[in-house]
Amino acid sequence: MSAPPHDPGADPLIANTVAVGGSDAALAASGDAHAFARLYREHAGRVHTLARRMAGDQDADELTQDVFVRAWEKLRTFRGESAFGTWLHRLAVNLILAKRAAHAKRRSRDAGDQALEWTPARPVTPELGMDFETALKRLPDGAREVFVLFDVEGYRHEEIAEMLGVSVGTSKSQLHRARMILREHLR
Amino acid sequence: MNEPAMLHEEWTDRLSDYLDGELPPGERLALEEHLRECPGCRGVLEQLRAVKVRAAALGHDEPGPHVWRSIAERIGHPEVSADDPRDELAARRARKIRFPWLQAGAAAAAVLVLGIGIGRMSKEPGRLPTARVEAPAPGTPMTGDAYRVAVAQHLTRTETLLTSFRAEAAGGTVDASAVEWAGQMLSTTRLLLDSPAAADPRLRTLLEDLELVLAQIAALPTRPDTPSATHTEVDLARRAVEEKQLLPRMQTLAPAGSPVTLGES
Repeated sequence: MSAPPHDPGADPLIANTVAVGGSDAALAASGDAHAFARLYREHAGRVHTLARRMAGDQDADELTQDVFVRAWEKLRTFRGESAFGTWLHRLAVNLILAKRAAHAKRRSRDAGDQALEWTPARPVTPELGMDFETALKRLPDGAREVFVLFDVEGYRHEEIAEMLGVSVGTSKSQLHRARMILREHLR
Repeated sequence: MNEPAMLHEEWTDRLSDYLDGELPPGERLALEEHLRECPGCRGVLEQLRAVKVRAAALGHDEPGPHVWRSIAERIGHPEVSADDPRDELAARRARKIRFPWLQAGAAAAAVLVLGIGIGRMSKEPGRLPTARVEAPAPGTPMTGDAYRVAVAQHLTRTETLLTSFRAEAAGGTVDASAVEWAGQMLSTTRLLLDSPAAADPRLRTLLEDLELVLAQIAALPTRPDTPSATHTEVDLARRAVEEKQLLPRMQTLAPAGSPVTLGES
């Protein structure tokens, strides 16, 4: 089951948590593009990496752009009840998930996505970060999304279930599935 | 035979919940009891824990500069940079040292801009006039006018230095700040000489002579225990300034700070 598309700007969670937390966020909300550039500099890495892990390398740049453009458009609704980073990250997650169908199609077309049938290559050690990233990339979409959101980004199952439009139980089982696959790459 | 295997799988399926503290107290205690008797589940639990730890340690990567450029365009502010000013400052400093655009033979794409603030010879230790040389963005076309202005500013600054040096040298001593300033001017002189715009023979000869004299001054000892250069070394540098007639030649080529006239005489 695919999750219903999310419009980050219409997301009640976002609307309730937007906040002008820092001075740069306040300045950017008033149209100061230099302040927005500083916010970008501070948060672009996390957003870009999230996009890459959730949607794949090819779409990470485009998604990062979309997230920050959307943030610029929605900054006026940012009311200071949470940190700007929290607001931005939630917006990023929702936007990435909203576009995942198109990106999943491209990933499948480009890579012949055989998530579970991938062949273990050479022995992988915990020290080889990129190998772990590669294994993460090859997880089934649902398991990868939950794993990234829970284990990497620190969201709770209740939040993930809401974002993905699944039950809490599904979120938990997908997480366990992802971990059981990934553990093979830490041997 | 099937029942133990099935039970084992059920326990395994709960290991992630156990790891995350998601199990109700009763199930947690039951699982912990099972773990004490089951090395297989303990092994899986440790593997899952390792995955969790590994995931939490994953780092971030930074997007390329084109990402911000696209964002800036889309929000209607293409002129805004996302570069960290501290990075830009470091880059400028690096350019001051390496001047890769000249070394790579791409001097035609560069313009030397000498700092406008022509300082006086300071008598205060550690207070030196700025000798700032900046490189514009690669691709900036070199123009004769820009080069002439840069040379004129450099000659004016050097004239100030040499005039002060000559006056001090007559007394047999030179302030350490003059020595440091000469070192800065020496670098700029070399830059101007390396530029393909330095084709005028009079200018080249002058700059080459300046380079030699500035090198002499810059080499004067400035150790704390020898605040003044020795009389002989100072006198040699002073005589070089006089013999090469540097001050009148500079005044002729760039009178009163006007842009120099190149290839017109």
